[in-house]
Amino acid sequence: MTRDAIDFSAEAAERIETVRSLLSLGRAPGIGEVNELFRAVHSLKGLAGLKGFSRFAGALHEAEGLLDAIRLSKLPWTERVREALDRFFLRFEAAVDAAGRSGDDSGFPAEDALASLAGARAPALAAAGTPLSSELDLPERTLSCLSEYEESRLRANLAAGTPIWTIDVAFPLEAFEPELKALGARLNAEGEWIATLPQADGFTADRLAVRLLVAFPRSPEGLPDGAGVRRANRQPERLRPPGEETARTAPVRSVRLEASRLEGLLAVADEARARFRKLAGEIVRLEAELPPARRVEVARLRVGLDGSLERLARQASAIRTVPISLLADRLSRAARRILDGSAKKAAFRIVGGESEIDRALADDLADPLLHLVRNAVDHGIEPPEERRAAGKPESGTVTLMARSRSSKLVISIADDGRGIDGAAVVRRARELGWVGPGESPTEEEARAFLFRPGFSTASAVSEISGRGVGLDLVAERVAARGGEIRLISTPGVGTRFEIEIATPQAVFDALVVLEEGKPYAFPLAAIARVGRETARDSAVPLSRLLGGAEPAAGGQRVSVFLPDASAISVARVLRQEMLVVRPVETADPAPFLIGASQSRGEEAVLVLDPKRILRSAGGAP
Amino acid sequence: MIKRILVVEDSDATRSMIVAALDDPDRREVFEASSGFEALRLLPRHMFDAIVTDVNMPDINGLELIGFLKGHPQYRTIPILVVSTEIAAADVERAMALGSRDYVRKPFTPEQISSAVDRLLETPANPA
Repeated sequence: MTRDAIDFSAEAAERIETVRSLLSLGRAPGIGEVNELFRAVHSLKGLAGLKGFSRFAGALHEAEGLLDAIRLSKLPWTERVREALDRFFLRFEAAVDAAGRSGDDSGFPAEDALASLAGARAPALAAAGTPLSSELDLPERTLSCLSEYEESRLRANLAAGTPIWTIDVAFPLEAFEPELKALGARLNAEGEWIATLPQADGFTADRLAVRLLVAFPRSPEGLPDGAGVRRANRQPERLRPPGEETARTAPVRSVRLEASRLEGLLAVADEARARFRKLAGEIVRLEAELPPARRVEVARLRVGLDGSLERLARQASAIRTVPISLLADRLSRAARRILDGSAKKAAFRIVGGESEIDRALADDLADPLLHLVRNAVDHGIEPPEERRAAGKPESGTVTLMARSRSSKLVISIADDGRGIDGAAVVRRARELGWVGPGESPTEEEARAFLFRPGFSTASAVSEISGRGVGLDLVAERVAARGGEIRLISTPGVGTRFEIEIATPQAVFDALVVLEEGKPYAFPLAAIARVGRETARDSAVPLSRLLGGAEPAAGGQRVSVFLPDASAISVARVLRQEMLVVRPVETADPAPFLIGASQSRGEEAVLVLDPKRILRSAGGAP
Repeated sequence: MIKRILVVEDSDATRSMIVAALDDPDRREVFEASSGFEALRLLPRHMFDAIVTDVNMPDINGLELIGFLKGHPQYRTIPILVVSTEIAAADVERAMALGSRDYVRKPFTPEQISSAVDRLLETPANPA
């Protein structure tokens, strides 16, 4: 260990601290703060060079370059930039620590940290709006067939610097699907299979040629005989776009918005869309009288406006929610901060981060979740030596999992730590006088003690992994939002807290049907198919399930089939619609009632769970 | 004359609803494909008078299917109705730009599908 290494490690620590704190402001930094960041990184680079750590200096040069671009307004500050810098300095800090002990920086740079820095710089290359044709050498015909999603995947891969390839391949029609899927799976193992374009040239009844668009780190190999591969990037070496990009200079800012204004915006957007839909019906009728050429033109204008209004309504509605991953980022930073000060090792994993969650709900859940994460790291995950002794990997895992089920959101925080010692919980409960001398509570009762106020007030908590700390408060917060918290724990294996909460609203595709003159809806996900009712269907009339009269005889009814082939019959199928569904606020809603949806100026639609409503009538003939 | 209509849609529920809406044996014969690929397999076997297709499907999606049809000398004049069962209106615009004749978006009623197909069939073929 050299004097230089110790000096560097000590002097760097303070500047790294400056950088880390500027990166966790919780907002975009102002220009003064960006300059401060830049200077801190710049002086770290100088320091590293001075002490002979050339690898550190080289890597810091990349980070400095990124900050310089932001400082000079060549690149906007985005969450992606922040994340890349955060990741880089996390690695850098660990490497500096190691260098303080070993005296060299040979373990650095970490390739992934550098790659994310490069990725953060790259979006300027292929920002939305730059035509893809300027990035990819592909015929306009090909590019115009891409869906918005495929285009976004191409852009994302361009931004990440992954080369794009076209693969021309033909298969016999008979074996086409399995062959294509097998090839796709091979490509997805290392890259991304983005689009499949069937080729009209040479199409016969027994052979089909397709062009695949693929993002792949190198020229794909092992392709079927006769396949043609070509690099599609125009200028793979180009690092910066020409001039006009400097126009997008302003750092990304967030604004606070009064809830009532947001609701007003949403209402107007919905209204505009609903009014246009009515108008569009009239336009369609008028279009029929136009000569064909004019008719196509008018139809295109109609589609364009309809699309804009649709997007307006969606964008407005999207303001109301945030992806879980934003919340998860905060939690993962908190976990890292706790780990920084301890000898423990753990990774934070997020599953289902793309689920959207209501903003207000996210705010309300942040603290309870933070508490659970802290508990998991502090008390659940064992020290490395204890884990090794138990035959577990040294590094533990804390997993946040989120999923939404129609109008419910389930978020869990799980660790693979030591689990909760049930006997210790009961011992503590006895001390508190909650359990009498002769009583022996069940496992479930013992767990409930953890959520009771007062459980954790004494020092005994450490004995039971500190799980009682503040859990009563967590449970209280969750209950205040009408949610439930559950605890699943296996000694030696781990602990999972699961929060289930009704979302203020859920948006899903539904089948709207008519029965007894009233509209009802079923979630489309619960429906297999619909068809004219036949005697073979043995469908149960919805009116009977709702406790009303038998449907009047005569008139063709429609059967709505569930995946298990059971069926409900209705008078008519009205439409498929994306519904915004809110829970019904009555004292005792029927278990099959998912909620209600109301479009402006229309009758409320009750949304029913078809499986439950059939089951609830299970005894009926 | 009985018209042959191909319905391309990967969701069984939606496809069955479209097929039910078009159900009129005196006027129409309806063929079903549950993927873009299946549509390509049916194309050489029948002469279709109209195609109703979803946009968002796995592997070969609606836009890619439309691009294929418009690039093929034999199929380019078949009128296409796009049924959008997805959020992205941008893809419907793309489908129209590629030469689809019309679209129906959710929420749709069986009557809307049926009358849109009728309009498709009574309009002369695209000059393209």
